[in-house]
Amino acid sequence: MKKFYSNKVAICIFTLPTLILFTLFVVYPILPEILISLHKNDGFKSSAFVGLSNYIEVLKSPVFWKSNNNTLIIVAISTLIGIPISLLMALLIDIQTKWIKRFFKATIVFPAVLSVTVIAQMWVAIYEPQWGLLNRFLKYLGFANITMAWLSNEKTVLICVAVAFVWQYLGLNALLFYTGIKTIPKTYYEAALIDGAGFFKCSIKITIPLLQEMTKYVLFVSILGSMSQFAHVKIMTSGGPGDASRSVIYQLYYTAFSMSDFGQGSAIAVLFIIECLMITVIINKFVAREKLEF
Amino acid sequence: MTKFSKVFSLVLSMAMVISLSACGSGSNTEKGKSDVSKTEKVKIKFLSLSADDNRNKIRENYIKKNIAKEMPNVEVEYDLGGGGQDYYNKLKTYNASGDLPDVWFSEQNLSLVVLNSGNSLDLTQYVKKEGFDKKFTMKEVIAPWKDGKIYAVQSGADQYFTPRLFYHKDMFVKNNIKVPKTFDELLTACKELKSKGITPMSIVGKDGWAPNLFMLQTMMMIEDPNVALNLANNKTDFNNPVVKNAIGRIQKLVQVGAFDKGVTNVDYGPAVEQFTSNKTAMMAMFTWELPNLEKTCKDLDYMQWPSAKEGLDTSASIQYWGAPLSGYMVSKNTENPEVAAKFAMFCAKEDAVYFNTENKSPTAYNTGIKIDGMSELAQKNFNEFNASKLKVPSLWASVYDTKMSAEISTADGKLLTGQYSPADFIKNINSVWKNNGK
Repeated sequence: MKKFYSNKVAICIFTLPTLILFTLFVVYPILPEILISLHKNDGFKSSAFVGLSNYIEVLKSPVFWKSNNNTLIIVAISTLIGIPISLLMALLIDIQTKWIKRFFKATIVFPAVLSVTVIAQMWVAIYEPQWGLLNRFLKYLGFANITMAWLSNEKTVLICVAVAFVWQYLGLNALLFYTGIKTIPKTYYEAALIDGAGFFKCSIKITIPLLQEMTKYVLFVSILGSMSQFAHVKIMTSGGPGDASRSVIYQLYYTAFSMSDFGQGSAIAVLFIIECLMITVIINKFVAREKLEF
Repeated sequence: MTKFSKVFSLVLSMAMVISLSACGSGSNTEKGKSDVSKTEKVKIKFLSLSADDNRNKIRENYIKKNIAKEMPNVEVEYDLGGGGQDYYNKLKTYNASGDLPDVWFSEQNLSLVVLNSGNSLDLTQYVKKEGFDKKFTMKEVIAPWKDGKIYAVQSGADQYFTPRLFYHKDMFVKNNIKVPKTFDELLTACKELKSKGITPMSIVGKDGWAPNLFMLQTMMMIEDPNVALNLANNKTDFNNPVVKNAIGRIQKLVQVGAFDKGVTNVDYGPAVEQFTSNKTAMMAMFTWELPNLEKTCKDLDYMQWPSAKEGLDTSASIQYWGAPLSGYMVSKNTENPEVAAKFAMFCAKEDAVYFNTENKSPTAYNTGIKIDGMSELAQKNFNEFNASKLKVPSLWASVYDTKMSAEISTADGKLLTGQYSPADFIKNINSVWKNNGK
């Protein structure tokens, strides 16, 4: 059996169907997309070949750079706030009793399995200025002076959308971290216990370093997921007010479908692919380069 | 165990194969135009707006109910397209993928997208054959497009729709607030209402809806209606001082707190509900809502748009909705063009019947129905509409192309935050305006 699975032919046979589908539906469509990005295209016919003119227009557009910045802000919130919270949740779940552990393992993924529409509408209701939960809670605590129309204010709208997005996937990331924690041999913790290490020290010195592979995976998933943020933006604010909360993918959708400019929309898509590849290379290069072993 | 695994695998494989076979199209119809026998039903896919109460009633109570009687050989598949930007995007996606429904309801800026792609059917021969064009009192409504062809059929109800500033008479009286005659008085009235804890005005703010469809144009017309007409005829641009002032007026209304706090997220239904449940004292809306408002608001009235220029009578000019390419369109690739065209004309007629009977409002299409029992307010609106000396077409409905509509939606959305200056608005929109319609 081991000989069968280490056989290169066997590996090819098992991975070929997925590779074919991936190539057909993910890799191949990039080629016509690059072609469209070099033409003036209104969605149903390509007219003139314009070379790199679409790319230049996109790169000169302040709205594109604003949407790019918005995306990076969402990525930053997801990575710097979302991931640590998920890790903390996983660590706390691990030290609970059996039944509490089971309860949380089942329930923390509920937001992730719910439809994005449901989550987004829920958060729209929370942010509602007149009767929303957030403003009512702030008034109850005596902070009525900071209540506002969260989704209508250019300064707060992006953070509000990011919070909704990050909240939805906190539990899923926590579950991934928890899975990683379960793979760490108990002997390390037993040895640390003998030396008098508590929960905090064990987490810092043992759990987090040995979770690097899982952390790298969660980083990839989280960053790429945040980069391709669209649904929450569309449902909660339609990129508004104005263009204040547009992400790169929303800007792509707006350019292609609202402005009927598929040429520039494809150019945005190609630039987005390049950006994602660059981020992937950076993460690969600087995160968890060597497998850590005690 | 091995034998069991083999049997289990075989059963599982067979189950998967059988379930896959159900995914086949199994269609026996031929592609292209088909002969329809009297017993065979023709399937028509129909996309309609579904976020609008009037459109929903027309579809549910008129089209669905009467289709079997009028066109018994037709079976309709109803596709509900939502409203606003969502509807536009759905139709544009269908257009781009070559998967347009047979018949759909369209507005001018959207119709141009389909027209330019060559996907809309020329309805001229079918309109003439049915004598549909002879039933119109306003011939402009069924006039051909620039290329001499007719692409859309409509009831002509749209032409009579105009934006009004509805208000609760009782609220104004109770709070001792004078009905404003000038824009400055309107600002004062808004401040007074706000000080009494009442949101002054309800508008649909999502995607800049109200400024897009009428408010920006109204703010121009209260100073100089000829500027709006010149803009419609491409004789001026957004640098015009009257246009700049109009943008500034909307900004001022936002800054005095005339609208709901979260106005940029207020959709159609909630905006109307705010007014009908007395949460706001005024509502800026088209007269297509008048029948619905009269049912729930016993103290309903509308005021003339407050003037921004001394001596200007704002009732002397009126903004009207509708455009030559608004209405029901047919796909060029429909399998049954004659049946689809007939269905489109049937829908336009049902529109007219609805507006004449339930809404008690006139249409350019003559249904033969005498409009009795028009409410006092509806009669007042109708009389003022007919009496107005200058009728200006809606810029949104009949002038803006797709790009212009998209960009002005963004700009108007920003305007409703109160932090977007007229200068920035003009700088960003003028470059798009220069290429409008080209």
